[in-house]
Amino acid sequence: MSTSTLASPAVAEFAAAVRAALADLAPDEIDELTDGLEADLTDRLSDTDAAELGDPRAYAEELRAAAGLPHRSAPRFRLAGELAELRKAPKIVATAFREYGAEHPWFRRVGEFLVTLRPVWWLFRAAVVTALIVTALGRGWWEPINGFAIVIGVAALVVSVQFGRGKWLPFTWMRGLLLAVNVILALGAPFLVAGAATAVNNGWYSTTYAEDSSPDLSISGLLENGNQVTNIFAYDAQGNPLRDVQLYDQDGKPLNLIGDPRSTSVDLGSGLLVPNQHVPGRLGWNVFPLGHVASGDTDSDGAVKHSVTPRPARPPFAAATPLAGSEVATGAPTSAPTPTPTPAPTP
Amino acid sequence: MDTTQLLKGVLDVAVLAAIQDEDGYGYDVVRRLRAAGLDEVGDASVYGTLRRLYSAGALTSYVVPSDDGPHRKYYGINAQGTAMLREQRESWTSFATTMSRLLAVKTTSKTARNTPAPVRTIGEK
Repeated sequence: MSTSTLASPAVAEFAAAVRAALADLAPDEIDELTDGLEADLTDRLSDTDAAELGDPRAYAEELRAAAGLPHRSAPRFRLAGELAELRKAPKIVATAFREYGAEHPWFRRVGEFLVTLRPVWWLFRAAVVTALIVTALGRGWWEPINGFAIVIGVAALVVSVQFGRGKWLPFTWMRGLLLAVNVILALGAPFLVAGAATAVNNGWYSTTYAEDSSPDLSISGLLENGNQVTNIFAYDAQGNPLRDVQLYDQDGKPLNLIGDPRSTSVDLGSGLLVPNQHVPGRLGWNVFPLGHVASGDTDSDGAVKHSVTPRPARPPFAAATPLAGSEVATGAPTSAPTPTPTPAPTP
Repeated sequence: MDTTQLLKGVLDVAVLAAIQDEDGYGYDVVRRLRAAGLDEVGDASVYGTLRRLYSAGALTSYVVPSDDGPHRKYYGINAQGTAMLREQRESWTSFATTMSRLLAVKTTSKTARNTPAPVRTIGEK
């Protein structure tokens, strides 16, 4: 056991270098770690033949590690390191996909197909962002499209496409953010689509309701409790069916069941509903009952061919209940249509 | 096998054992460990371990001034350190036994696999 002398210059220098390497720690921690260091170093020098003390920084690291203290600037580097690891993830995934694709051609083809669909994704992304913005600004996105939504939508589309093309991303953090948004959207896409479908359906229902109650409608025609009236059958006081009855509304306008009176025919599925052919200019939509023709009986214009005579619509009842006091005339019903007022559209 | 790696895991118990009978200062402990056969133990590792054990409350510490040189910092074991040593000694013993058994089993199975051939050969001849 050697007697300790005053710290040699080499020992003092080494100890100072060790303390400097620990300088990021609190002063009392440094003291705690290096108290008695000179004596230990001196002992070591005299104990061994080697005059070298080694690398003070490595010594400090060893001291630090054994004392359970963090590496120098460890927190900062560790965070940066993890971020760097995270940033490698897409590359690792891409490599894995490529390797799998090299072995399985179908996988590669599916991948190529999906890559061509990227613009669809950009469009979807823009649509979702638009919906979110419009909703956040207090307008229901299911509301009819308005100028405001169009402006937002166009802006979102342009940004989304530019991002998709790798443009307009000057900072790397923006790419990270974009990746995060993409992942969230991809995970949320099924729910978003399902929700949108439900909302659109509900929207259509409410639109239908609106049509029921409001007279100003794009889809016009005569509705009864929401159902389209496609024909009208009139019976006289004795209950006999009438043919070629001209009907007008309270304003004197020809009663029109189907909307646009210029229509040539209306497809009922089972056949075509056509206006009365005896009114010039196909305007016989207010002459009831309306006739039927088969689907092939119209020309390219939709008008009934000249060779075809529309068959009269079958009335729901052969005869209606006569009105009280009018039962008398039950004698000759078949040739009943007494008034044939065809050529007199009075109003 | 890299014994410095093995040493890292058992340095606490080694240091506690080195000062269980007699207080010691940093280099003193290093010397005792080396004398016991742990040649590869690093000075700084021992000092760091001493500081950590002290911070954990397992050791007491006092400074002894020296007239002709830098002062020395002595460490001694306290009740908590003794308890820690006992506990770690037990886990080491159990671990060492397990490892010895594992390694011994490997060796015997190897010999067992190798031996039949010569035995048969001898038996046939």
